[in-house]
Amino acid sequence: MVPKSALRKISPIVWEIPRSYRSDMRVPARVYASQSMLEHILLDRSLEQLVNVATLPGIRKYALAMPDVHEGYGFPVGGVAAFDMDEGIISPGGIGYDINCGVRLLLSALTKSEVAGRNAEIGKTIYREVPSGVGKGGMLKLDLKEIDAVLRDGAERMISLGYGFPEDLERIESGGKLPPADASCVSEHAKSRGADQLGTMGSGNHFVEVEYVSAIYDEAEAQRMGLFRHQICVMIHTGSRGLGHQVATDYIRMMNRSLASFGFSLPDRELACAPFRSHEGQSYWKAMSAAANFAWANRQLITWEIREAWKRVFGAAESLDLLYDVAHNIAKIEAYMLDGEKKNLVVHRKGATRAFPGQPVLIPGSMGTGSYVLSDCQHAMEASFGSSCHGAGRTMSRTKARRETDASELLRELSEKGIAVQAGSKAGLAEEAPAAYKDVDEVVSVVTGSGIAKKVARLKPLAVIKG
Amino acid sequence: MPYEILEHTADVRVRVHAATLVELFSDTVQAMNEILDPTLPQQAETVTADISVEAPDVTALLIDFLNDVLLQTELQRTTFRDIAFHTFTDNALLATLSGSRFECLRCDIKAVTWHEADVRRNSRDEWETIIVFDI
Repeated sequence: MVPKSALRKISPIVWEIPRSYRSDMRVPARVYASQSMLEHILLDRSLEQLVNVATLPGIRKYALAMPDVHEGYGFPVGGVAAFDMDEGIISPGGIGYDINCGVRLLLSALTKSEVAGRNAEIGKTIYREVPSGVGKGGMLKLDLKEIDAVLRDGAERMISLGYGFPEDLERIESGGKLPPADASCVSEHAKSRGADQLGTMGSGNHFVEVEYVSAIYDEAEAQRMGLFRHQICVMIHTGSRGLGHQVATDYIRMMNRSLASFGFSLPDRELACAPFRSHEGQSYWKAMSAAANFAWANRQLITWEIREAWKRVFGAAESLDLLYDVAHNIAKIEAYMLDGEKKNLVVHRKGATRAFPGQPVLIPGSMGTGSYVLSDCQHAMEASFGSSCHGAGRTMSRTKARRETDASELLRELSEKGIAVQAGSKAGLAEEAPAAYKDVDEVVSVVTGSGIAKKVARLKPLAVIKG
Repeated sequence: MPYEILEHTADVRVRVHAATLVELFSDTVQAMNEILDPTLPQQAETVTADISVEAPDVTALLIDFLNDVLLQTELQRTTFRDIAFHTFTDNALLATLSGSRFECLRCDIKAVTWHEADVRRNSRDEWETIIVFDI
């Protein structure tokens, strides 16, 4: 564990672990957190994991932790790190197994009063339409040729098959497609795991949530985005499913066998990595891009399924427009100013959201509490490699959450708040209890207080759909 | 119990210990099955799968083996209770898994991570390691 005495206060919400803390650190580590949040962060291994990230070859400026940071494996969840393209690495463990897990928000033209009393009906209809849980296959069973097309073209492939509109693509990070994708770098095993999983949510912390806009903080920006008070929205949170998990597994295995040949000695084998320019690094980059494309195709097909459910409940005239889709487990090549020079860097986000100027930043809170839409992220380009938090962040283990949560009582409490719940398992529901997460308002206040982004709107849930 | 589930903020951390390496490998699969928590039909179909792994060291052998078991679990929709090792060294194994096809799983394990994995002798002269499962 990193002791509190190792941290230097840069500002009331920015803390630094200097390079001198451990001899193998190449850069300092910085944490965005309030004093009270920091006390909690110090209780698990988040900061030890962040220090490990700071030792990786070619890392630039800082290893960063967003305020929703918590213990993960390899990188902490909420971790951001940028690496030089020539001297630095790419690390599958720095992106995680759920490649391009992300969030998308759909906007309806309906208001809260227009859907009053229909929460449960909406929830049930979406639950029937979007397969969830473990081992549940989706509506499409893809052969290898068709999977390769999805891996190459991402969300665009779904649009060409009729599962969405061309304008959807303009509202997805990177247009829902990373061009370096190469399906030949993805194993047959990974493709087999993904063959029937497009259009499926999975389990764990993945969800679909029907929400309404409970507060607007920036009228002009909200209007630009098409958000208005009491508007009904739908949030989707899922990723690349088994295909992405297998891509990460395959490449972490491969890179662990190559570490000695690169001369790397790592503090954690989960941080297995390869020089970005190496054959291994490039193969993973192309495979990760393909898995990211699969995730965008997945969220696109789920969008189509939800649009079908919406028509069933509200009639064919009611539509759902895509506001935006963000990835939060991914590596991207992005340009930043370093020492007065513009440099392309390999930015790793593990449980962190891209936050670029002009882009909506979507921050889901814990089940039943609410979410945020943020924007105006100019300072993020200087302070956090264009990154923000990705959610509230866990603060309690799943076993403790199950032990301390009465799922029936939780359902009753949510019902009293007017929230309908459709969940595959009560134990799974208890693991995701709001008490197991940080306060999303406090997390977002650190992001806005640091100037990384500004609040546009807050959303509150009406129906939660989980596997 | 040959394993105990420890606290981890987001995932599942398990400490496994056993008198022999073969038992350690088998017990870790049972820990994985407990986390997956399958629902089996009354007349569950028996499924077998062969797994062959080569690795640079015994920790890598365990992680690669577990990930291959997890892959078969997902592809064959089967949790494997019985494992027969035909070959077992610190660097290689050949095993036949046998188990029951499930209806559903309560928990999704995305992968078996390398984080904190370190197969070694403990102070009681048993084989021991921590395994963190990404869920």
